[in-house]
Amino acid sequence: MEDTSAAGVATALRAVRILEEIAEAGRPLTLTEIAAAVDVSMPTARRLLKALESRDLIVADSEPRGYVLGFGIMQLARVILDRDDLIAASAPALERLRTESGETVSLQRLVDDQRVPVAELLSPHSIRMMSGVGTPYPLDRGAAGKAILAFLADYRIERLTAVSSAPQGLRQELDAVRRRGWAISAAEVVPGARSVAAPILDFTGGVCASLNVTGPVERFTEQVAVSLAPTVVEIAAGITHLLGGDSRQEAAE
Amino acid sequence: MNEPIPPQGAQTALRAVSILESFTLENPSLSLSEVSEAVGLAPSTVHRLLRALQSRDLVVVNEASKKYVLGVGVMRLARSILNKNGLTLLARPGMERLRTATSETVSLQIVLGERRVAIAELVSPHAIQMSSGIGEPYPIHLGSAGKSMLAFFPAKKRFRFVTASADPAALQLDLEGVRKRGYAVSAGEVVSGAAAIAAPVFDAEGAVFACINVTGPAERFSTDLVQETAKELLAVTTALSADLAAGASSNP
Repeated sequence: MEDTSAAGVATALRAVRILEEIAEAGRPLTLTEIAAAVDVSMPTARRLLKALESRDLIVADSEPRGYVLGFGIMQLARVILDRDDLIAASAPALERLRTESGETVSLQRLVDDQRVPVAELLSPHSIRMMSGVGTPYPLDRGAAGKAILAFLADYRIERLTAVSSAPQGLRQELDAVRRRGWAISAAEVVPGARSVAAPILDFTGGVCASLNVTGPVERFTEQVAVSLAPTVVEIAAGITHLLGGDSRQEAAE
Repeated sequence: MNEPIPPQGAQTALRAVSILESFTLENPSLSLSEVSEAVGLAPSTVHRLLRALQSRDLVVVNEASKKYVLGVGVMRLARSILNKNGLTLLARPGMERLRTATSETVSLQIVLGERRVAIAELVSPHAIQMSSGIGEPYPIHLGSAGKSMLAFFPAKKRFRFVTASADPAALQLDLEGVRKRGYAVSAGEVVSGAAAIAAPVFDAEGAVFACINVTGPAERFSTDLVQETAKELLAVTTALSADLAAGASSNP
């Protein structure tokens, strides 16, 4: 018999909620606590816990007594960890951004302490910018770099900004980028070019790339670039989501 | 209290789990028909369950390719393991220092139930390198990583692992040595040809819950290197334990 009636699906979701409650608690939860948290009877909670335990999604811990998440969760997470799908996840998004902006768009990946464009779609205009796939650029110059740099861990920001010509000003600018969620630049890497970029986060919650739009300053004016920023942020958040990342984290940190 | 749940309800929960498990390292991205083939259920059934899983972000569908992948919901759950007490972030600078100093693979491991698992890893730049793989469970009583933690377990819990091992007397002796030195050294206990050195990390209450492990091919692990690495490793783990205690007291 296949029980996938609405009630069956609701039960499956309750099992999911048990996992979420344990994750949120950050400590072992007892049977009583779990039954109360997901609003089911003790026998039902016990049955669901048994099912989850049989697949290693939770384990019973003895000291202190209660249930914690198990390595079944880690094994599922490994599938995401192992997946290198930044480019595949980004392809439709890049296409959409080029259509909306009419300018050159690129996906720039963080590689050690630099950024490298790994996918690029050129503007249909005859005068257009090109970053060139595979060419490394610094993180402390250009919107695509700053959109990454601003979201790195503090100690890395410290280290990477210390070597720039004006560390103080750069750090202030990065604070602003972090607050806004996007970066803008003009002629910092290529004369005559303006760019706007937003970060892409991966499953770790850390920044792994940026989504960048770039055009000639005459056509891609500051006003045009700023009004495009929310779209860039939204499309970058969509890629983050496909990578198993959490764009909500960005705002929280 | 909600409506009573029929006994077969747990069955549906298990089907949903099977769907999640159909995404593997080899096939991380699947179409509806591929999932239904993998779990042996009708596409309509699978579709309903996928929709439910999607509502909790456990799977995400790529609109362009119509393929499903595991989503941020899984990582949210995993992050509660990966980033317990902010551990991964706090440990990273020290791990980087150790990898630079040793050029070997450095990992951060935690106790999960009855086993241990790596939650972060910086791989050696050498062509021949060790990698334990994030998320892969290993026994606690084998390997330096496990022993560095086991040695500092409360007596009762430690006793349970020791008595269950193949040679309790030898393990007991080994663990006493670890407690005296403050770190564990092993060779070929989990992977033949591999050597490792590990030291424990303690939480704010002083309970061991993680360790940092440095591992590489045994022939590169000379006695000198072990001595040298032990010093650096203990400096890193001691500082990390202090950071965890400070973090816990600054934001309760």
